[in-house]
Amino acid sequence: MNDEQQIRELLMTAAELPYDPQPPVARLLRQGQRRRTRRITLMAATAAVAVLAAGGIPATIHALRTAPGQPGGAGLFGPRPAASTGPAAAQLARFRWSKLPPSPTGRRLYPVVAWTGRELLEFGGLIKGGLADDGAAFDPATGRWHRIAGIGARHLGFADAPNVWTGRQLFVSNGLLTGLYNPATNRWTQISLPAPMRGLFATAAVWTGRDVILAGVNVTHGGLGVAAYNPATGRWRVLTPTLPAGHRAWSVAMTLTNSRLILWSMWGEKHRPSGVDVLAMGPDGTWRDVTGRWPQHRTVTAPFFTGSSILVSPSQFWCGNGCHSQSNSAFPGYFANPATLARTAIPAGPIGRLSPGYVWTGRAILAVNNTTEGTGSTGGNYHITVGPGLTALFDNSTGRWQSLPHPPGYPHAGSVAPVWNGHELLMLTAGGQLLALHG
Amino acid sequence: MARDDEFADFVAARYRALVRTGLLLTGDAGHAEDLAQSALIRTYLAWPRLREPASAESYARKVLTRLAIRAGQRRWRGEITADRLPEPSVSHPAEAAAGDLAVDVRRALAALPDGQRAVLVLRYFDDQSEADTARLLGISPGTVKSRAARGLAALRQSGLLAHEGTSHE
Repeated sequence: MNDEQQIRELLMTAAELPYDPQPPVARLLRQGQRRRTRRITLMAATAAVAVLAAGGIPATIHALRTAPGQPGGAGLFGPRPAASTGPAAAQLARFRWSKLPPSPTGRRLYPVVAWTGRELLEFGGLIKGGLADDGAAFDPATGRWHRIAGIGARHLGFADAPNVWTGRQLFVSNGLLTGLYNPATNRWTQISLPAPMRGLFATAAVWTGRDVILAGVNVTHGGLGVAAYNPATGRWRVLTPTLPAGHRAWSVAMTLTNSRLILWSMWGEKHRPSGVDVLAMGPDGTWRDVTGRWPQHRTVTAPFFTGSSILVSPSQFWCGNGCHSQSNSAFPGYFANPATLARTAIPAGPIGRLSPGYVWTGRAILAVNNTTEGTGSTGGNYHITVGPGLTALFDNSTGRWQSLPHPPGYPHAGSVAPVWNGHELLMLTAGGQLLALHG
Repeated sequence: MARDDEFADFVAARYRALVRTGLLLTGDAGHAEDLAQSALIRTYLAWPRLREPASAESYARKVLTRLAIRAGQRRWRGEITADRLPEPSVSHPAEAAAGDLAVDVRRALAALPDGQRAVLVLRYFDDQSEADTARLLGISPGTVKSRAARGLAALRQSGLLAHEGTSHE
């Protein structure tokens, strides 16, 4: 062995760390942002002094604009849009509802609803006679709707299907049908799934800034499939993790933090206890089991990364496939630390026990009820106590809930689809009425 | 913000590697983490002009190495932290031997002049070419060669490297 080989081996041995150092991502970002702000302030002050010293009139200092982020990003994760800061809870508390023009598509249940950054897209859903193959887009700037193209897949369509906005196109998949809608061209492109994903029921999708990660389960026998689709190249890459032996996935939830993808696989087996496996994938596509002490008997509902925490909506009892009798036992929502997955419970809110969905506004939570709760269901005297669309506000800084005014027309029959667009909550009701909660 | 997300991904992917390099340059894991974090904050500030992840990595390593050299000039490095007690009560013999060797190598590196240590780490741990090492340290390729030769000779003298012509078990 020559000197070079020997020294390489010695250095490798000497560089072994006595522990696994955890990247302090959030702290470094905070410090970097503070220093950048200081630097910009210093540059502005220096420039202003220079202009004043030269006797000139201070002009706009274009050079102080920060340069845009560079494209790229290692592995699967590319640049993603900035987390919105949003209005403060005190401002949100003064928000009121308005009726906006109704959707031209009319009444339907569970359409795909997404915000593109400019428009609210509504597509598909359940109508009398099956699945709708039409949709519409609403531009809040003009207050107008316009119809959008159908995907044109015979007998197939989307209802409540996992979807993500990729920055240019809307990706939607339910496992049977997968499509990309481009608002610029008003065209759908149908996409074939890779062989290991075919026949799976898609339950979750996230956008990494470069790839769409789609997860699906086998609804007949249990089992999981995960794959990444790059819209730029049109290529799939199968990323299915290995689950512990005997753990058949029946439902999957996912979210993407700053540094990893977290996947919750809710598994079950007849005559056996069931639970939740938690897996994390880094930018290099390697999975790690991070289940640790994660609660094993509750579903993980709509996990959403706020930029610093994972917000999980109130959930239900999970005991595997075919356990319906206890499905109304609601658990409160919580924040989970993205690095340690330690949970901080959010107190139960004022809008009923039936699992309201949480919408993150950037600085607060809006809880929106999506089902009807009432009393006296027999004899035709059903009294609705909590209707869809009823909304409450949680101020994260005080830890308190506050009820918001009832939406106009309350209570509505059917479901609602709420979307936060950065400064207001848009809510499409099953009747096709569009409502806005805004300041 | 795209910049922050890209940077967060970069930190998550490369932090440990930078700490390992820092450990070789300083001999101390805590100090290595401090250096890695300082280097990463500077990398964050320079992020808009670092167009690719490879450039960011190269920049972070350059800053880390320079910070380590600068810190080494200010700091007394008489103590090298060990991962285990000198006489571990229960330990697998092979593991203990590996741990002792790691401490011995860090101690021997710490005894080298800063420039020689940096050249050995960059050339043989980070796998930088002579030209890149020269660029990173702001010295000529000839100086890289001579510092590497002197560093290797010192390690040979300390008994960590086998003498030329003999095999090292």
